[in-house]
Amino acid sequence: MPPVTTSRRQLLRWVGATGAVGLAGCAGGDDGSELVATLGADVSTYDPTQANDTTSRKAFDLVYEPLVAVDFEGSVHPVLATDLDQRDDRTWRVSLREGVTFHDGSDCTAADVKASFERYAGTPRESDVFLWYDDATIRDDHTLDVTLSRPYAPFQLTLGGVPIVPEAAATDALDLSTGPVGTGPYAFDTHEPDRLYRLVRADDHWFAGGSGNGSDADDVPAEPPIETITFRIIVEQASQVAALQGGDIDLANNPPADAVADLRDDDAITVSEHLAGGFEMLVFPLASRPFSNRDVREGVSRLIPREAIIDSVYGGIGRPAYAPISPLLDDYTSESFLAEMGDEYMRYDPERAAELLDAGFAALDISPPYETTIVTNETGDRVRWAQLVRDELNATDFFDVSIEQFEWSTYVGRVLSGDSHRSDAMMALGWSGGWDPDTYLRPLFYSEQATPSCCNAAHYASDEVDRLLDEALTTYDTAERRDRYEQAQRRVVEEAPVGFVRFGTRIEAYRTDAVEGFRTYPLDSGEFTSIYAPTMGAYTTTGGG
Amino acid sequence: MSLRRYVLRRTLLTLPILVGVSALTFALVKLLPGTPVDYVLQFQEATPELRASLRAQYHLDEPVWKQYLLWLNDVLHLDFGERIASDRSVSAAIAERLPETLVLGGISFLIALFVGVPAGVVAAVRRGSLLDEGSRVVALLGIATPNFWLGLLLILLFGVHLNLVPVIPPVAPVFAPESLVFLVLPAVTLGTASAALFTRLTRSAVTEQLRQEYVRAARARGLDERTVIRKHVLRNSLISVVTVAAVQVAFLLDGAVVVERVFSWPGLGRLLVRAILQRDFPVVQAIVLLVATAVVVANLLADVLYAWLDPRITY
Repeated sequence: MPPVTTSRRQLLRWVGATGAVGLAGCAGGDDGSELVATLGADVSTYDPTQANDTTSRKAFDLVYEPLVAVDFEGSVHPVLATDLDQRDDRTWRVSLREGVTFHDGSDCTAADVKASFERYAGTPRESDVFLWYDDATIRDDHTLDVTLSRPYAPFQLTLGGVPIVPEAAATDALDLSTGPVGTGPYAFDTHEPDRLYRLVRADDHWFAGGSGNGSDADDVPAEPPIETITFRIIVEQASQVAALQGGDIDLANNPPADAVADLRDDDAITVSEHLAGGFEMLVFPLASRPFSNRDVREGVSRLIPREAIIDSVYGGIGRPAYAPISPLLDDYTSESFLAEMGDEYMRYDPERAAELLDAGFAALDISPPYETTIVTNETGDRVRWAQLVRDELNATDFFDVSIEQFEWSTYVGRVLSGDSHRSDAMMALGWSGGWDPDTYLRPLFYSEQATPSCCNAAHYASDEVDRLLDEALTTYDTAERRDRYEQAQRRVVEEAPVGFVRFGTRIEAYRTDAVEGFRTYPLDSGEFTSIYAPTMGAYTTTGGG
Repeated sequence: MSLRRYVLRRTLLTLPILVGVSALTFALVKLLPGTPVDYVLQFQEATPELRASLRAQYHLDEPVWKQYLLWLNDVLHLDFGERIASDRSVSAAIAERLPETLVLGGISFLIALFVGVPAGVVAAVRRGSLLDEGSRVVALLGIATPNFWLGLLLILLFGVHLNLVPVIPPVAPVFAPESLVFLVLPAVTLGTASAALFTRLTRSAVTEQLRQEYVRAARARGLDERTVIRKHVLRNSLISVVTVAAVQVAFLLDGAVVVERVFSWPGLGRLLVRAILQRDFPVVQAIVLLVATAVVVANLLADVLYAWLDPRITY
């Protein structure tokens, strides 16, 4: 059925709704400077020290700026810092850009940077900074020395995740909970809970146009071409897709996998995708029999039908995972390494699985079938892959598996509680990592990160892995780090505390006639980066082409 | 007993019900896994001091009965406390969403009533005809169709393919014309099941009345059929419809949770779901109490209306 393009405008005009035509009729259409995008949940906080949800982080990503930013390929670019100079193993001198002002008009100085770091103390995101921060000495208004508590390899990448806020926010003279105040290209405008969150172009953004520092682009405009960004809060994914197809929004963030094929077929819509930094996995409760046995774990892992999962659940999007570090980080992993791990320990192989399970059950003196569950939250894709794994396990004589679903926060509570590794249930989980390899290993496999401290739900503990991860974290040499991470990954894969399932893909879909120049950022919460990131040579316009 | 005394007595009787509901809600919310402190900390590690201070802030260090009394005392002063998920007060958050849900529910209710009752009357008067059978099938479908599915179907048809209405709410006040236009689809979605129920109920009530002696007598007196139906049958049939209409108020509030999600309508239903997921106890308690109060008051009104409609009822 061909879409009737003018009737909505007519209808709205008929009811005298002149004000709504700009937004509801053709988002971003009339003055060419509004972008309407979506958020799948409401923004819960504007304060970076409180934000544990990706939605909040993506909502204030364009408002705050960090000292440096990480581009689409993982390279570091200066933003508020013009220079990071390593003085010794634990000291870095930061030179700040001059003439930068916050949206409240105050100057951005070294005191703001120091205060921004220190206000993390005692907050939910304390570890963002205090994992490495020891002290900062202010040299002058635009220079400071940051002292680290230990040599810390991901220092520069980590700085990219620490937004700089006015010093007044640390002294409670400024309340960030009523509205974010940063130095970014966009300033906060309004937030109507469950309805919309709106940013407007900031007047005094420091970028003067031309070439982005360190980037190839030489034509980045001095101010963002898009004047207003409206994020519509649409919880229901199907409604999000409908809103995009109906022209109510310009850009849908992370549409559901089963809608992507349809969106690709739609001429009016462009689907942009990029390998993402994250994976799906099946976590084994190591303290519970039969999962205490390595052969059983590898046996189950060998029964995860990764290719079939990607084809039937994810519509062919994504790739099988055989080790934790995302192929996105090509300095630290490789195709050949992943293939080797697959062949040796993980790849789907029912025959090998039967041998392993036979040996494992015999060693534990357990007579099959063993009755157990896979627990998961209600994410449709995740439930479906868990069901495929269940079917594979039940097709053997060894298991009688059922699926148990929980609502997300209940599930998180259950999985991250201190004794989830003692239950007999396998846990279907997703993990989002960052630009540094440490983010894919430490939270999940370092012994001190065992739940409830963090996210090592298997309660995997290996002195060797702990040592390798610590060495890698405090080594600045990339080749040496790669070597440590390869050893650590090999050890983890061999001992199989989890079965890796799939590396994900970040997907953005937008209306071709309304959006131009948009690029997908591979990491969660950075999705809207390319709207205006002059130091990376990225900017987006409305109007399309 | 006079009507006034009856109303007074019924009103007083609702108080223990409300207290019971509030206590039950309070207890059930406590049974939810996870505490607000966990939510605030996102299940991350925290010093015992920080945990203790957060617990004290939300009175979680008091025994449950004392927490309940503290809360009840505040509620009696119309203070629903502070939200856990933000710094705002619960009352402000609810006041902001209430008009949205009331307008959606109100339009749905009107649709249900003005479609359902006439359809039921026609079906009863033409009992056994194709029209009657047709209304039966439509009503059955209406009752059986999940809101969620119907909503998406309407969005795809009218929002995407025909492109007649926006899929997401316009940025405008709730009473603005474009908002009311937008609300047609959600209201139809929400009102369908109620309309179907009204149809079936009116049909059986009218059928029942049509068999009564007084109808035969009226017809024998030479009154035309239209007058018989309107003046006599309808009034008597409405008694049972009114009772069910009150229960439908609860039904609509319940359905709003799903419909508001599908249509991205920022009403109480959305607020409630999010509050539950966030373990934002004060919001959950306040909304449940509000809904309970609405249902109890609706039932009270139904009883009073019932008495007023049928003077034979003694009290």
